[in-house]
Amino acid sequence: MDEVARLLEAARGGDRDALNRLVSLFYDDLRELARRQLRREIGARTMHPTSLVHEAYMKLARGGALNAENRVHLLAIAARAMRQVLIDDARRRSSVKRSAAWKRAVLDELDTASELDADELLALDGALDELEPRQRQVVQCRFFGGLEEQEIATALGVTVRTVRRDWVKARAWLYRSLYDGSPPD
Amino acid sequence: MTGRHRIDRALRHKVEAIFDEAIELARPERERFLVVRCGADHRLRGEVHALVAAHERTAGILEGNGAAAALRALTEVNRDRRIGVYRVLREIGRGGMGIVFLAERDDGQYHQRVAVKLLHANPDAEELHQRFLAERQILASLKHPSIAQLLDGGVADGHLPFLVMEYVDGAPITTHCDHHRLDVASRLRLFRDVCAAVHYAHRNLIIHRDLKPGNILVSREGEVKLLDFGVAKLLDPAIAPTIQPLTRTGVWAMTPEYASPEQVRSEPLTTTSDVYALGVVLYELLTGRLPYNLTSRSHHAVVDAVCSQQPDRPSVVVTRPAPGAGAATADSTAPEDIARSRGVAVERLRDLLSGDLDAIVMMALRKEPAERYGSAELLWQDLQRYSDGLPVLAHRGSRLYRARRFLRRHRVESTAAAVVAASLAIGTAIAVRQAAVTAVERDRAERARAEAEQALRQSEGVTSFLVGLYDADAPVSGGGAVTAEDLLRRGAGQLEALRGQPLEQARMLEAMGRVHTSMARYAEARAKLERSLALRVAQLGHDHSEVARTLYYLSDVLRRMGEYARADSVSRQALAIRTARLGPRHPATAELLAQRAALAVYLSDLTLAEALSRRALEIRRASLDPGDPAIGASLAQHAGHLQRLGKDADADRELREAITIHQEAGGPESPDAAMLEFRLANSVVDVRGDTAQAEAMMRSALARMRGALGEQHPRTAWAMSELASLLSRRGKHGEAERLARTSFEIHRRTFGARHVRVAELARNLAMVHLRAGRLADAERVHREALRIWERTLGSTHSEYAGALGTWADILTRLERYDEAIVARKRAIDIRRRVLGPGSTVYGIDVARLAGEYAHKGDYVVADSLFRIALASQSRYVPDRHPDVRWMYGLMAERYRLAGKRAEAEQFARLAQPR
Repeated sequence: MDEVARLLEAARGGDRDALNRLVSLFYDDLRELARRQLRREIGARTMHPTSLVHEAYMKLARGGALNAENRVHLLAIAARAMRQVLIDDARRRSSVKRSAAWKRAVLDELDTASELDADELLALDGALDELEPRQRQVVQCRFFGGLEEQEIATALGVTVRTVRRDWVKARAWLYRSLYDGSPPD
Repeated sequence: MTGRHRIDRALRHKVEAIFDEAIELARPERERFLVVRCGADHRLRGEVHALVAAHERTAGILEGNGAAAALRALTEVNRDRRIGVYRVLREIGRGGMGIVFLAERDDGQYHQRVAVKLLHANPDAEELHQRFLAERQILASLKHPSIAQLLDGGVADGHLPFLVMEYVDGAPITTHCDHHRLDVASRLRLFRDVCAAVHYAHRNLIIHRDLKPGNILVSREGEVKLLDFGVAKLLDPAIAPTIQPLTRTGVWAMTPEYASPEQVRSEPLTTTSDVYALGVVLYELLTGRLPYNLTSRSHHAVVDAVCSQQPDRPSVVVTRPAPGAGAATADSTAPEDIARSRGVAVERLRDLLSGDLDAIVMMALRKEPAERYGSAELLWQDLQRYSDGLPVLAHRGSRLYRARRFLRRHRVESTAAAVVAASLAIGTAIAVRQAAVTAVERDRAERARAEAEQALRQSEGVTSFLVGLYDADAPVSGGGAVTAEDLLRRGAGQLEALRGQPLEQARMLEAMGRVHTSMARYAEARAKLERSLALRVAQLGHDHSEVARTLYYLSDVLRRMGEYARADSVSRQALAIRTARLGPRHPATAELLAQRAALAVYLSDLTLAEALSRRALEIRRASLDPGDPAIGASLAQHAGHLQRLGKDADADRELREAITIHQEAGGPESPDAAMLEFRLANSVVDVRGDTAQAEAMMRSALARMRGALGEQHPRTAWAMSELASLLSRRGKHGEAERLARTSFEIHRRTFGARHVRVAELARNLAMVHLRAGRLADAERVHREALRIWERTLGSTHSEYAGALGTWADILTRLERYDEAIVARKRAIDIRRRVLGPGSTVYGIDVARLAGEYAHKGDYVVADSLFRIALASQSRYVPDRHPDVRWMYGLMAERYRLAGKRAEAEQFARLAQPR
């Protein structure tokens, strides 16, 4: 426990290694929890991403041993970890060739393994790093972390309005980055 | 790509500050604002512009659920993971039951690509596996090009059950059709392939239970493949809640849009549940919409929608605008889009769908399983009919309605003969049970049915036939009642199976022949019986007792067809065999004697008839129990012959004895006894002219028949008709007409318009009208009777002659004498040809013809005709015969008209009953 708090302090202080270490801790926990939940639950539909994140977070936080500041930070870290998960997956998938017909093979009741295009995700990953930190965090928490606006506001210590405006700006920037003036459609 | 727009932080902040304000403004103001704020800084303005533009287009960004996707990614099975002997290549998708992978068989032998469905862990994995092993044979037996075959199954990691299926690379049928913008005709073609596959599975006794577009894929080459056949059954609801509709929170976990009412109510499923699902898919293929708008997935809402809501007809729903945001289903396409993806305009689509396609779809979607198409094949055939421009069956009302009509039209007639009638009466009894309105009537019908079954058990041949047909595993019809039509169809089917067994075939043919007989399909009956006879003779020789039996039935048919001479010769053949094998005093021989006696009447040999029936009676009395109904039947027959010979007292005595026997055998309410009471009543009229007493007797007997058989039974109807005739002769025209009409209706409903019995009753009704003076009605009704006779027996049958006779009567009353004469002559012609000039009826017709000429005023012709009639009559029939007396009465009237009072008086005296 102390280790986590220590890592958090260090990460906040700018220690990238500490940050990475935290993320990977979180990542491992997430994966473990997800697997366990999959075995427990009968249907994938009943898996709740947010609860999973919270569970992982709780595990790391050991039920509130962290102070408020650290808690907030940890949530943000969780979102960071989730992003990592997705990006890794995207990398792997992007290397697998898929034909156009394959993409259309959406089995009605089944979701595809990813609704998100791998290449798009990878591009997104890069573009995210160019955003202002808070905007990036908002995106991570919302998109990767699945957190609600209020939760994000609390986590980042700002108002909901700010979260909203950050979200709007972030998306506009990302759009520009990704599509470089040549939008799809 | 991302590098190009890197701008420094300071600029970025400035841009963002202006952006925040700019997007709060409306477009025109925005422009002005930007000009003001940015001033001369073009770069700044350009960046803000670009960012605002981007903002307006950000709809597609980050709208997915990254967290969920991340989670799936986290739990995605790794490539190369092994499941059994299969190696995972990649994940295809996830569903409620588990995850599906593309995998490769990896045991060094071959590299077959398969789809592996890994089911979520559950504690009963082992049990599931066992069940799978049991089912696997059945499921694997489904080998059809349009069905993805189930290949294998097992348990991985000790606790994860999995199924291995043929890998199908395709899209759901709905997606495929929309994507390729297939028109209605092409969609129907694809759909028919689906029906063919489903029907194939049904024939192998496998129901899909979970049909929906996601399980109906179409490959790139346009081939249909159905997935997951029978898998739903395999996975017990307790284990895999895909089938179980409710999750712990009471919300549907699976898509209930394709679930049938019975599925939604957790009732047992049948093949028609699959038909229903096909109906929903068809609905969607044609209209792009689903039949029900589920606003919520709560149990209550779903049950209410599926079980009570009536979906809009396809032609109607394609013109409706897209449902609002409240709908839980994803149908948000506008009518124009729907039509476009079918290659037509909205109005054209509506026109295409209305009428036949509407009817077909709605029929598949009926709430009651029995009212849908009975099989996927029937649905497919109706679609084929639509494509071929032929009339479509879905229009003719519900299937239940048609089944009901079938029941009514082809109910097996229940005759008075003992065992044969009893066995056939199973159909009547069951059908009667259906028709019985009150519980009381149902009880009575139930008793009648029990009687019939009892008699049935005594009849060996019929028992085996019916037993063979009452196959519990293959229910006969949706309505639940077995009809004669059903029996015949089954019989026909079984004939094929009996190919190598001629004697069994012969038995089946005989039974079918008898069913045809009761349905008045004499030509078919004859054909079947003759075939049966041929087989039996070939196998058993000419004098086997089974040959005798077939001959007996054949004779019966021939008699009904009016071929009396041939019927008699056949009957004699049978009698010879029986006498030779069983002796002259065996009850079976008596049966044939009775048959010949009946024929003798038709052949106008009353003396012979009486002798034969007397002998039959003696044999039966000697060899059967005193209370055996067969003795009663013989008594009744003999009494009839005695009556014709004028021996009324003896006849009455025997009738009464017969009545007693029947009452003892069948209870005081015995319908057989009641029917004989009618005959007794008629004889009272004929002999004593006491219509009042006759009426009382008939009323009492009718009441008892109503009690025993119910209001709707054909025999009750016959009794009503007899009473009606009597009443009309007594002048009670109102009641007579009511009874006659009711009786006629019952018969028509029971037998359909193609049965002679209906014609007979129509004739009675016509007579009632005639006596009441309602000539127009009489004419109309009798015309119908004639039509029925023409259609059923043909216009050369001797009974048709009788109908023509009544027709002539009516025409005479209408004073259309010329027409009457024509009709009468036709009748005479038939009689002469069929029965010979010596028959009583011939004589009567001639006499009536004479009467018609007399009415016309042509006394000369009338006179000579009368004499001819009398001459032919008295040669064969004693004076006291009622028909002869009647003729004397006619002549008396004729002479009176001519003013010859002396002759008139003479004949009038002869016309009196003794």
